[in-house]
Amino acid sequence: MINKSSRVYVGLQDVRLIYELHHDRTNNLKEYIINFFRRKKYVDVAKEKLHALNGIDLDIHEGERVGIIGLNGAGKSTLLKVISGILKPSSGRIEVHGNIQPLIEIGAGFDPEFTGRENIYLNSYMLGFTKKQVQAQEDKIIEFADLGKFIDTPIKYYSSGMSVRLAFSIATMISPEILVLDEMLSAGDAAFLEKAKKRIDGLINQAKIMVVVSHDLSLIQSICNRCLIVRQGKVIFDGKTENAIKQYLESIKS
Amino acid sequence: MLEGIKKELSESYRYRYVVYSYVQTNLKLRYRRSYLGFVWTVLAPMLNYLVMGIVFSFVMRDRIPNYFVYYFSGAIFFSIISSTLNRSPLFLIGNEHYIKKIYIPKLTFVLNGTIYEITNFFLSATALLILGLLAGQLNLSWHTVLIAVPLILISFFLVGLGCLISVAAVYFRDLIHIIPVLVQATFFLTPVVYQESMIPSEYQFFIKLNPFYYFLEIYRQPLVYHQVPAFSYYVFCFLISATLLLIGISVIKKFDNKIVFKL
Repeated sequence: MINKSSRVYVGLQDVRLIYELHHDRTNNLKEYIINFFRRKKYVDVAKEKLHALNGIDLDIHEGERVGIIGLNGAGKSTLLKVISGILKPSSGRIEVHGNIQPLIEIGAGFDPEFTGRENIYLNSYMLGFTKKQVQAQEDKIIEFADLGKFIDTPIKYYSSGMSVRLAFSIATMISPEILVLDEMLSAGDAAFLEKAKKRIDGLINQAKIMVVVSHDLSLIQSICNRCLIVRQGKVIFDGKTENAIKQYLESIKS
Repeated sequence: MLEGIKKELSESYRYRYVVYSYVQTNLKLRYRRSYLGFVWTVLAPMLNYLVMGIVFSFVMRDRIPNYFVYYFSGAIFFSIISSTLNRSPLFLIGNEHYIKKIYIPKLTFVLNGTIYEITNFFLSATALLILGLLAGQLNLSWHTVLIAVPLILISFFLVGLGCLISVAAVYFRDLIHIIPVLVQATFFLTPVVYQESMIPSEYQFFIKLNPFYYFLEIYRQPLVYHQVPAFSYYVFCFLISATLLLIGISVIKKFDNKIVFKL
């Protein structure tokens, strides 16, 4: 395995992730105490284990543009969240060298009571940016989001298009070495989508590693030089994009 | 354990601006669009304590000299404890939408809530202090400086306890309802409205079991009576705060990866 610390690199070794699904979410203190006195171990009756990732091995090196395809619930988004550090694997090792910026749940750090400007700061800080970085980018963000005088209005009064524009402008203000993308954005008017597409293209070109999840096969075809098919938490194909798409389409038909 | 604490602290330090921005904006937000604005920082606790103070002064006035100062100073101090602890079960649960979508060290959420309450305390306490001095009810002496010690120690204490309660509340939502009741009970177990000496001596033992009693003593003695409290009280407060803080941070670090699946 090539692993020079100066190089941008993403590596996963036998990564597993188990979700515990609580069908009945009441966490009951009463039952816990009763069971404790009965010397029984606390058991959550309505608990089910879901193996979202089932032993993933992956090496991504500089210059690779990796697309991930698969059916709904195959574990694609979970895999992205593990790579970006939002979820920690239940077992296995993960190694990431280089600064990473997920564009997964943009607008996640928004507080509806705060104004657009206040949210720029809070959200950027939550994404791990420093005060200096945000101050340097503040005007550019506002300009790109094209919010005009609404920037000092609480965002609970924004239309959904406006908040998506703001969130997108914040999340894409700095081009990362490792870019992680989930499904492209859908809100925003045609003019903004055009602008957003250009910026994404810019980020993709500058990123040393890109990982993208999408159901849009033609998009994957045009921007990826490597493609994974994920099924039931496992990578069942890893190779050239054309071959992956061909196999994926066949597997859907059968 | 030490390794975990160090890691959580350094990660939280990296995200320190989140706390800064959260506290600053929420303080602004609190008074946005209200006519009296910032004045409420002083007015609300004043009115609150005034009501309680008047009620209790009928009962206590003859027995405790300078009852209003005695009660006000204690009540303000206890208000940091009660407001922080009452919110603490929601520190993590209430931030579910962030925790599920981006990675932030969990300690940051505890710091957000605790530092917000402490800052709020400082604003209203400073204003009330000035009012007390102007009204001639309160005098300053070099002892006043000593109140910094209990304030710092109680902050550590509350961060530690906040970590423990917020993690426990993720597993047992019942705590959201239990904690306020316990806090209310603690308020009456702590000599805020009454004096320790008014309790029959055979029951004074119970008061000494209450850790908040010691914090209140090392705060109130210098402020109200211009006395230096017993050194052993300082040692006790320091030890319990440091222990809780370390345990709290290591617990929140230990559950860091599990919390997200339980929300």
